[in-house]
Amino acid sequence: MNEDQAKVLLKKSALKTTEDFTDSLMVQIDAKSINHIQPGFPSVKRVLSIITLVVVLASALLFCVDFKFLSELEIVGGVHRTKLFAVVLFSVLLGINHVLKLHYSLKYTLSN
Amino acid sequence: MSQNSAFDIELVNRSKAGDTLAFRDLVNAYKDVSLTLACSVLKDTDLAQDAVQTAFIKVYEKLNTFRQDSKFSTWLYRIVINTAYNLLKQQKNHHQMDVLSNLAVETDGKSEAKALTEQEQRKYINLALNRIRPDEALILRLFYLYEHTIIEIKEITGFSKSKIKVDLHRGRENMELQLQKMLGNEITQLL
Repeated sequence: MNEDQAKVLLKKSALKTTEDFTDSLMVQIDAKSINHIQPGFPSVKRVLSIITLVVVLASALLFCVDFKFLSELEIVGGVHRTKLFAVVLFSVLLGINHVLKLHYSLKYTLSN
Repeated sequence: MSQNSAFDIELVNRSKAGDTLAFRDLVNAYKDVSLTLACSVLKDTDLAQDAVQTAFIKVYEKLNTFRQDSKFSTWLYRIVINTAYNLLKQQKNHHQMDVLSNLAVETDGKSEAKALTEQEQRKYINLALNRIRPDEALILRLFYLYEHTIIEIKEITGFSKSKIKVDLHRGRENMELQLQKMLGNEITQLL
């Protein structure tokens, strides 16, 4: 068989995909694209950093600033500072727990 | 270095931007060539179709890494061929042996046909290509069917120039041998 004969024969060897090939492929690609969508949610690291910063600032504010003027205005008059701090800290920890729960719940839902 | 067509560049850029319709057009443009190349390696249309689907998914996922310093088709065919060879390794020849035995049954008793129709000619040519080594069938199709140069084939397959030349020569001989086995003297109708 010479070169020209081979060319004539090989020109008849092209194959065609099935009619639903592209549709079925695009369905798979769309499914993969959905799985790759990231939730519009800040990363845990960033959330924790912000919360830590807020706690430090709140503590500094609570323990370092003189609140006598507030007592005069009767805003925090009867509340003990340490108790107030404990309540704020507990609320913040509860918030962190909620944020983490939400984050992992979203991650799990999107990856399945 | 070969240049990308404006059509390819536009579709690739739109696909990179997340336009799935553009990617669909790329698939439609290259799916048949990709199937033919994958089938050269795998010798089975269904398996080859699976390989091509997997390859296109890889292409979609890695499209952002395509830098356009080579032709899109070359990049795509390289992924298709690698995927096909990986699948072939997984199959460990068992499936191939089944396919070859099925082909033998299919061709029995048909060598007496006097006038081969166009469809029959295509069938026998593809059967002959399925009976020769994957590398030979792949190189024959890339060179004669899709008219790639030896340099382009080297870029697509990663084979050396000397291997490509040897496989082209052996591939032609082996294909003729297989056609003779199936058709006997009727081979003259094909040539």
